[in-house]
Order: sequence, then structure tokens, then C-alpha cells
Amino acid sequence: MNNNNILKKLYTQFFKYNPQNEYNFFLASQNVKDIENVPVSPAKDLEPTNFYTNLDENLNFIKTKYNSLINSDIIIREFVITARDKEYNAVIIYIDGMVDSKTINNSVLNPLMLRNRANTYTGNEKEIISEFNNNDVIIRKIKKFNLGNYIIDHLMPQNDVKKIEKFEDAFSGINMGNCFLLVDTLNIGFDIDVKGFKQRSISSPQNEVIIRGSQEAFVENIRTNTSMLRRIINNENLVIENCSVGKITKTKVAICYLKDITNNDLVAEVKYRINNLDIDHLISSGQLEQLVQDSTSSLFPQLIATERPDKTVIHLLEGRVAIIVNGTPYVLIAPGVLSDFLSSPEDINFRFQFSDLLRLIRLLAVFIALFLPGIYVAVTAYHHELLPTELLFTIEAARETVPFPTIVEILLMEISFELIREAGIRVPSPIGPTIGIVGGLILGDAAVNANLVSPVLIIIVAITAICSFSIPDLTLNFTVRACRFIYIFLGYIAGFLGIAVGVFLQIIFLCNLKSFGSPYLRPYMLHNNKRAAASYFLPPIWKRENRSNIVNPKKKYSQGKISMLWKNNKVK
Amino acid sequence: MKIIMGILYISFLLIVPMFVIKNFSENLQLIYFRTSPLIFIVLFFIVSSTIANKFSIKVLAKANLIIIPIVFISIIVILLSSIKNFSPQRVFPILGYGVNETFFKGLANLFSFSGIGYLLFLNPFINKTTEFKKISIISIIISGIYLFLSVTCILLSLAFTFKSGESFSLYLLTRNLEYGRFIQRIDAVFILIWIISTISYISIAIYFCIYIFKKLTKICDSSSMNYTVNLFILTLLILPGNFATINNLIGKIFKFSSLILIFGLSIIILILANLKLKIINNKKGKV
Repeated sequence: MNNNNILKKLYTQFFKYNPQNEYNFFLASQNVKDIENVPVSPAKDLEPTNFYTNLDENLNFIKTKYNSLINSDIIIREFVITARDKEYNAVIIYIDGMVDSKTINNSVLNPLMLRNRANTYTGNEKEIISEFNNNDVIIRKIKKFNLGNYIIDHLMPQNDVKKIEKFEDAFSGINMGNCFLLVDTLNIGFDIDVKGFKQRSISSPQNEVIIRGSQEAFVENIRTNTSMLRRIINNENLVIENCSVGKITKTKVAICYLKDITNNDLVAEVKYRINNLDIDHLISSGQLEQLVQDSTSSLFPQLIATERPDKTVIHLLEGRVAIIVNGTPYVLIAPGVLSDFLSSPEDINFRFQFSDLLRLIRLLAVFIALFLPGIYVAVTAYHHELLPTELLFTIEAARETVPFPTIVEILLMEISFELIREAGIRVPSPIGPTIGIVGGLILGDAAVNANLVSPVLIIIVAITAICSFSIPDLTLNFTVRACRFIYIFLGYIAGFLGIAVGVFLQIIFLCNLKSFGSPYLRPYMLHNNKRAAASYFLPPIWKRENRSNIVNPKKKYSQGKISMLWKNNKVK
Repeated sequence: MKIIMGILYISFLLIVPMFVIKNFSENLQLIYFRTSPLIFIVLFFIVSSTIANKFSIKVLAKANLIIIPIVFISIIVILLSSIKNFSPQRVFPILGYGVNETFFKGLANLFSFSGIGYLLFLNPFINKTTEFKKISIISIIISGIYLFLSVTCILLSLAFTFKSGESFSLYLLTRNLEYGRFIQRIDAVFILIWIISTISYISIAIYFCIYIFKKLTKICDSSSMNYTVNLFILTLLILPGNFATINNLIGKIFKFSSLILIFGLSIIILILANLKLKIINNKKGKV
């Protein structure tokens, strides 16, 4: 019997149907019509746009929109307010973590809920706006009691309160960290600024370090950034226009310019491009840069991206437009031309001789970073005669034991270097220097000892790397790095002929490039401009009368013909 | 008449880049690319001029504004560096092989000035047409300075018996330049600069060719013509067998025909057009 049972058990276990118990998750299609890239919202057309007078109806809709049953950080606080000794049902809605609770308690709930002289006042119900006598008949213009106005004027000791009629505006305010007040019987709501989320404080710049200038950098908060600009410019002509980009994120973007200097067409063009973006989300200024630049295929940057308020202000004073994106510590400046990316904000702090020397060195660095590896390949492959005989012997002797052709050798080293650089950026900061030491010193030395590359090539790659680091702009640095590979390839296939063709085409592309209507090589190409010859190089500070003509500003001069009046005895 | 002149100029503007590319490529092959086929070198010129012609004349003009000073500096460097080799005696005999050789047989060498022909088509591209005269004079002066400096270098450094290809006389001079013990041969650097300027010249010639074709045929969009013209030039370049054939063609046929076209026909037409304009203006004045 037992044996039978065992056999039966074995039989059933063996032949029994075991449903596959493998965890198999897949994402099924949601069948949402997203053809026109509209945000997913069922019955969008049926949704109310304006507030009802009934509080419950408003509240129900808001609760549905915010999924308040599952959303843990949406706070809906219902209470009763007292106005003119009458009680009204009210509710405030806000997002926990984005508001300052103290402000809500002290400036919203306290004055509205607690009985005080303001809300218990029962004076004249009708407010007399104007009164005049016509043939002994007194005509009075009387305004009926308005609860909305009464709340704003008497009950809300808060600096920034807006009356709102649409749900959309209410959601926008709540999402940005405001508190929203709804009162029964009113078909309006109150958007109260009580923002209080944690944010990074102003710190020194990380990537645009200078010695003698300001040590402040932009932060993620748009208002902090605009206030930094206001503080430096200190002029009422600074205009900061706000708009939102992205259907889902509705990211705040500020367009800043000096209305008495900046060309109106430039401002209009910037606004036109930013307001005509059909995107769901905007997270960073880098995204916006790619969306508004003139040529999307060009490798060259067409907008200046900076984390320095002082650099932004210099450009604003030249008549350019700054674009601040909420959530990004990098501000975009339009337009950006080639010479801007080779200039450092430090330049204005030094005497013009030093600045010009630095600018010349930077120019040289760009040329070396761009062409040196390509020229090395071209010279070793086609133009040996360029090298002095002794140097040629040294290079050839060093290369004798290397089994690869020059192109493989240089690509190996360049790609290795790029990898080290990329790894150095991505790894946690304490390990960063180790990567540099391991990658740069140990690997380089080992590669030479193993006869994988020649020592001369290590020198070439090292010089190229140092020169590329001296390019002030990060995006231009990327451009130079990318173009360098093209020149290496051209140098390999046709020597100087290939490089010449590359240079010619690069010149053509640069001449064709424009940034917000300004030719990319503008300072060089500018005609009828006295500054044309010295646009890249700075003239002495007393000779900088003309404002840069890159953006055709409204004001031509930035200082008097004689700026140092004290020196010429012309003090008024 | 308009069509005939147009066709003649199109032919001229097709053949000039062809000769320039062929000449330059043959020389480059001789110096650096002995194992590479000629078409490999030629393709670099054709491809770059095709890409350049995708852009407007404004872009080409701007590019020239960058290239011309570089070329000027290169010539100045050659001049300064070869001063030590200058010998005033090399100017003599002033008439070289004699009056007959210099003025009559050498008449065809005026072909070198055929670039003046481009000025005839420049007017529509100038913003201020009233400045056309000024622009023409300035461009001729600049070209004259270039020519003078180049000729000075060659004339004072090399003996009059020395003969070389037209475009590479200066190259032969640069081969002898040396700066101390370290830099003994920098001719490749000058070649690099001249390649850039040659591509620029070819691109402009092809641009004018396409422009004239567009005017003649009244086509709206001439962008596809760019590929056709460049491919046509490439085909023409492959046709002649070698450098000797092309030299022969240049010497015997093209030089004279282009001289007749630019310094003969064009001037006659300009005079006739001027007369016609005066007659029309006179009539208008009477009315």
C-alpha cells in the first residue's frame, strides 16, 4: 500500500500539470491617443475651466485632478473663515514640502480663522466710492460688499496674493509651491505665495573659476538668479519677462534684457522661439539651448551657457538677451559668436596687455588642440621633409618597435585619453585624481614600455590635452575634441591636402553659421566698424567707447569719448 | 547675343577650374602622392567645391575674406625669407629671350589676367551698385600687389632661363627657404595655404558658372546644378590622358580663346552697351 502511494505520488508529481510560475512582467500598450503629443487627460473637453461658486464642486474637481486619495503630499485643509462676522466654508490646498508652514499658519490660517477686529467688523455694508452734488441732489457711487476684495484687502496680511478665475492657473500656482485658497460662494480663488522649499544656497562657480572677479554662481532657483542680476545691474531698465515651457512641466523661463540697450528684434526673436516650442518637458537650459539655436547640425555652440552672474551682466550690458531656466544653474545668453567662447570673464579684470596675451595664448591653444594630432599624422605619413633630420630620426627610432601604423597609434591614445577624462568626471570625486594618475601616468608609461605607442605620440597627446583644457567654454571644448578626430582622419588619408580641405570646409561652415541673426564670425567679418580689427583682442579700457556691434544695440556707446575725465582736467 | 556670350562664359568658367585642378593635382601627385591615382587628389577639390557651392556667394566671399590675408602673409613670408637669395642681376636681360618671345609669343600669357572677367558678373551681388567702380579698382589693386610680390620673388631669385609649371613657380622658391638648422623645409605649409586658396578660387568660378546658367535658363532653383557642374568638371578632368596633353590644350587653344573672350568680345560688348545706354538716355532727355 505504501509502495503504491509512493508510486502514485511520484507519478502525479512527474505528470502533474505545473503551471509556469515564472514572473513575467511586460508593459502593455495603454491605447492612449498620443499622436499629436497632447498630455494624457481623459475627457479634457468636458473639464471645467473656471471656478464654480459652490465650494464642494470646486474641491471635488481639484481632488480628482490631484488624485488626492493616493497622492500623499497634497494637503487639503478645510476650515471656516469669518468675514464681517459671517462664516464661510473655505479650503486651502498646497503641496507639503514646497511651502513654508510657518507662513501658512501665521499669514493665512491665523488671520482667516481666528476672530479679530478685521473679520468681526460690521460697519457700513456698502462702500462709497465717490460722491458729488448735482443741483442739491447728492449722487453717490456705491460699491456693494465684495467678499473677494475684502479677503485680499483686510484679511490676508500677505505680500503676494493673486485672484484667480481658472483652474489651470490654480494648478500652476500649487505646483510651483504656492498655497491656494477657495472660499464658498466665490467663483474666484486666491493664489498665495508661501513658497518655502529647500534650495541650494549661492556658492562659488564650479566650472568657470576666476581669480579676481565675483565668486558667486547661479543656483537652481529662478528668482534667486534674477535677483542676482538685479543686484548687479541695479537699473530699472532691466526687464525680466516670464514664460513657461513644456506642456507637462510648465518650466518657468525668464527672458532678461535691458530695454534701452537691447535690439527689439533680438528680444522678439528670442521670445518667438521660446514661445513656440511643442514639448512635454523642459528640465535644463541645455535642452532649451538645443531647441532654440539656429543650426541644429552644427558642432559649434551658438548660445553662451554660463554659471556666472557677472558674465551674464556683461553680455546684458552689451545688448544681448539672457535666458534663465528654472532648475538649472546655467544661464543662456543669445546670441553667442565664436569669439565669445574664447573669452573668459577674467579678461576684463586684468590690464589689456595681459588679457590680450591670454587671449592670444587661448587662440593658439585652440589651433594646437584642433590640428596638432592631425598634423602629426600628416607629417609622419606624407611630409617628412618638414621635420629636421635629427628629429625625424628620433621619431622614426621611437616608432621602430611600434607594430601599429601612426593612425592606429594616435587613435588608441586619443580614445584612451577621452575615456580617462570621461571616467574622471563620472567617478566619485575622491577617486577622480586616482583615475587621472592610473590612466595618465601608469597606463601611458606602460603603453610606451610595451611598445604599443611611441613616446613622441604621448607628448603630442599630452600637449593636445593641455591645450584643450585651456579653452574656456565647455561646449567649444567638445567641438574641438570632435573635430580633432576628423582632422586626424583627413591627415591620414591625404596629408596636408586633406587638412587643407577640412580647414576650407570648416571656414565655409563657420561663415554660414548664424546665431540669432548675428554671423558667427561677426567681429572679424564686421565691416564699417572701427572695432573690427580688434574685436577679439581687447583695446585699453579708456578706448572701449563703442558697445560691441554684434547685436546692433540701441545705444552705440558704453562710455564717453574721454572716460578718464580726471586725467584730462575735464571734470564738470 | 546674350545666350552666345553666356555659353562662351560658361565654357570658360568650366574649363578654368578644370585646368587649375588638373595642374594643381598633377603637381601635388608629383610631390607628395606618387603612389596615389590622380582621381584621388582631384576628388578632394571637387567634393570640397561641391560642398562650398551649396552655400551662397556671401558665404564664399566671407571665406575669402579669411583666406586672402593668410595667402598674403604667406607671400610676404616668402618675400622676406628669400631676400637673401635676391640678385638684381637676375632681372637682366629685361626682355628675356627677346622682343618676339616676350611680346608676341608670350601674348597668350595675358591669360593670367583673365580673372578680371569675374568682375563683369559681380554687380548683382553688391549691395551698393554705385560702389562697383571702387570695388573693381580695389580688387585689381589687391590682385596686382599679389602678382607683383610673387613676380618679384621669382624674378629676383631665379634666373630668367628657369622654367617651371605656372602654378608651382613659387613652390620651387619655397623649397629653398630655411630658418636656421631646425626648420629647413617648410614648403608643405605653403602648399597647405595654396590648396585652401585654390579650392576657394575653384568654388567661386563654379558658382559664377552656375549663376550664368541660371540666368540663361531662368530656372528657379539651381541647387541641383551644383552636382551636375562639378560632375561635369570631374568628367572633363578624367578625359585628357596626362599633364602634357592638358598643357598643350592650354597653350594652343584655351589661352588665346579666353583672351579673345575677355579682352576682346567682352570689351566690345561693354562699349556697345555703353553706347546703347547713352542713346537711350539722350532720347529720354529729349522727351
